[in-house]
Amino acid sequence: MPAKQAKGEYIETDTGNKVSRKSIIVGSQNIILGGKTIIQAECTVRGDLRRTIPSSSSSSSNSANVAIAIGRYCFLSRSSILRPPCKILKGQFSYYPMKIGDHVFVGEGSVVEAAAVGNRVTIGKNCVIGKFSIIKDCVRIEDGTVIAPNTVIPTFSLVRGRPGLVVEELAETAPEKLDLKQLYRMI
Amino acid sequence: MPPRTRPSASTEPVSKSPVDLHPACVIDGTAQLTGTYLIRVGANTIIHPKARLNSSNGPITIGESCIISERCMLQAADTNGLVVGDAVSIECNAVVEGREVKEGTDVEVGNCKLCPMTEVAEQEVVPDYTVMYGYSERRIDASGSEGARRKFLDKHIEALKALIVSNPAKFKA
Amino acid sequence: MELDSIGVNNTTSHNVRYDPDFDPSSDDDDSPPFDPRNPRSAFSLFPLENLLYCEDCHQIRCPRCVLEEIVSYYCPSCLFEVPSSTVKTEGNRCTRNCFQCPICFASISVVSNSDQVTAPTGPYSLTCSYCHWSSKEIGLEFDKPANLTAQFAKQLKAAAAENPKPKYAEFSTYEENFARLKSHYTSQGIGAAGSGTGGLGVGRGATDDYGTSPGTLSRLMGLYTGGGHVGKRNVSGLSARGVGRDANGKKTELTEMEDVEIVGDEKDIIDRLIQVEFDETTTQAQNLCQSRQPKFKSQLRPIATLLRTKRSKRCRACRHILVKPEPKVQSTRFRIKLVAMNYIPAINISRLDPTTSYHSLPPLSTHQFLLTVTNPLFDPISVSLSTPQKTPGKYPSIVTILCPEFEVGANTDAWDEVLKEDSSGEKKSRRGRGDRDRSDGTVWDSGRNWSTVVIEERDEEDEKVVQVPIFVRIEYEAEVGMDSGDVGDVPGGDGRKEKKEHAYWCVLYLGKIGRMHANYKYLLPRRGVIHA
Repeated sequence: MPAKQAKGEYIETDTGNKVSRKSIIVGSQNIILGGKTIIQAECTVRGDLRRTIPSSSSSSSNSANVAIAIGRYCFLSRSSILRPPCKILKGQFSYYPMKIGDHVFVGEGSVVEAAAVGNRVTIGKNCVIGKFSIIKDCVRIEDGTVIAPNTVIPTFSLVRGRPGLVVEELAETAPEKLDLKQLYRMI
Repeated sequence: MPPRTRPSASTEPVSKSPVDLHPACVIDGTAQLTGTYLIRVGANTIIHPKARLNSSNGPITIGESCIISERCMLQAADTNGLVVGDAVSIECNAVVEGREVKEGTDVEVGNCKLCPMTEVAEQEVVPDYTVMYGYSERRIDASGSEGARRKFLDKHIEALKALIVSNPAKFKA
Repeated sequence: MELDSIGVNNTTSHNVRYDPDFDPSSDDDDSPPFDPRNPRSAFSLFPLENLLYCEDCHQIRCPRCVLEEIVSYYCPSCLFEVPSSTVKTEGNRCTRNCFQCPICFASISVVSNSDQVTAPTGPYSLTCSYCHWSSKEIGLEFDKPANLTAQFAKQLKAAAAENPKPKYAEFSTYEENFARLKSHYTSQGIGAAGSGTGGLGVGRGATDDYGTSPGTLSRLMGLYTGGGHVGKRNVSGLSARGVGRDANGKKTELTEMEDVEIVGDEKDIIDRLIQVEFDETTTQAQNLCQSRQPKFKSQLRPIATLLRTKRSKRCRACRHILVKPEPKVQSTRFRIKLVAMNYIPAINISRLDPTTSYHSLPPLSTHQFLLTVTNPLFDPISVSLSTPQKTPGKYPSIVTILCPEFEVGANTDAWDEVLKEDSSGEKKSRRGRGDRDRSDGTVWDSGRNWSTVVIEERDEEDEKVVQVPIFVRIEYEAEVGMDSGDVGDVPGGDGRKEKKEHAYWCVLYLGKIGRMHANYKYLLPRRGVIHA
């Protein structure tokens, strides 16, 4: 596991994740990075806010502890925050795991408390993605959008406003446009 | 493979403020309490990692059963100080300065709710049960959900007490 | 730095203008250059990613020159695929538990109103977790947390039945209402009246015979589609005018779609407006989303979520299918996807001097940009770019493409790119060379399937967005039979090459000229200094 001794800002892991030394990763044992994911400085990832009640589905004990799972080619910009959502279900309070797909871009200063973010999702600067919202594949969220808790955003959507609403449909080329492989190579 | 958390020794606040932390509060070791005036934190209050409290201009008093989230910034505007009442939850990235609350992210104050990114102007008094949403539009909350919200907050605090390791010793002068 | 360049790609995204009337074979050099400032241009400029390509017509197709067909309907909130047979009867809206907040339009969810946290019991209400609106505020509560639409409809019906006004009892269901209206309009003879005047309402005032006015038709359509808001506009006004003609007609006007609450005449509204505070009235957005266009917040109802569609697209000229998505709601795949990006080279602009800001280019000076053409085709292409010497508009800029004709390599093997990347250091070194001899009409830099040339822009006046129209002509030799459309023409035409050509106008947004100093006239003699 010894990371390649990077000369610069980033620590690179075996799977190609580049994590800034100035990022704030809490509870790293509960965080899974898929590989080739970039985490910039001041970015906060709250892996310590894990599920406190046992999962109803009898999954293996290993995956039950995961608080945040992030896919490949994701990019978490400066000062963004990822924290798992919490709620009371049947009288019991708990945090619930957050799943983030591949090619997900989170802009500067954005706060993500979604339950699930799909593949190829671009979240602009200073956005707030409310608790338990579900963002499907191929979605672009414009700067300054506030998505209300429990919102579902379907595929090929352009989201804007406070609260964030689907304002436009993305073109068929959106999967190519939202690909972040090039971005990874630039870092 | 998850990366290792870096110890934040390098980002230790330069001037530690005098503090009065209630023994039943939970404060993460990486919170930043700076300034010269007293910062008082009540019982059952949770201070998340990297929350910033700056008492350079005046004292800060935080009531009981509050949640101060990560990366929020609480600063007293003048020597009158900043008083945060009981059962207030201040969410991520919120900025609270004196009576001014700006660029709030889910600042929930008492019976009010300020949605993310709403702004309260200087000197403005936001009455009880106000909801600020969208682009700082206001409305009066008539849903009568404050009881349920208080219950939620209490449960939330209970859960966080188990999740966040308190390190009050770090802030003792 | 990286983020900056991402933002820049968006602001200077290259826009291709497709002109349906443009004939590349006519080769008319005298035709005026495309003017991006022309008001009509707004309708013919699209980013490359929004354009499709018809392989049969060998033409770019814009969103305006395709026909759309609905493949599937779904609720954007619960992602349930609604069978097309039930869409109409359900009014194009989700009939499960999906509602939008009437105040802020966020999706709202059902919560228990009881204080029992451990075992939630009824009654339930719809509550917005964003602005804290609750359906309790309008007295709407549910016994069960499921099947809300049915419960909601039942309550509306009950409210309608309770209402003492006789109008409500008369039409308690849409079906009855529809039957009544149908007989009413049939008796008025819409069709006959329309054909008699040679058109709907032509030659008559809209108020003359409201049976033939477009408003009536749209109201009727509103009944079919359930899109309520066209139905109730100017209720009082219309009825007042209609009174003299047909007492029965007036009644119909007032009661259609009105199951619960009658919008009183204007006097009632004004009286109420005087009493209530401004905060209790609806905003325009809130008003328009409701079927009855209520004036007061207390009259707002939860909005059932409108369905969304997945659509396939056909070429308007040859009817061949260009886009066909998977009908499954959550799939992002396409069975057929002919997008222009795979046929037309992409053009990108970047600044030569990385210190200049796109948002404030120094005025009265020469700016150099790098124009990169990337070839998506598997054959090498020859590109010729031409631009009017001066950009159209009141304050033209002088534009020069230093190398207007050049070749771009084929989009061959992806591995080549990986190998190229390793030698990126070499790429940088070539920049210096390019700087020296950039005047001699050579390509600035090139790679596997891309070439970069320098474009110079010199503005004469300040404060405007520099939009440069460029006429792009690409020529290449493709193997015959590669395209599906050619298969029929050439039996077994392997190995034979065929010359192909694309020509189109595109517009480059180079940036915005910065504001001149207020006393710029005095600075003019020192223009040379600003230059440097």
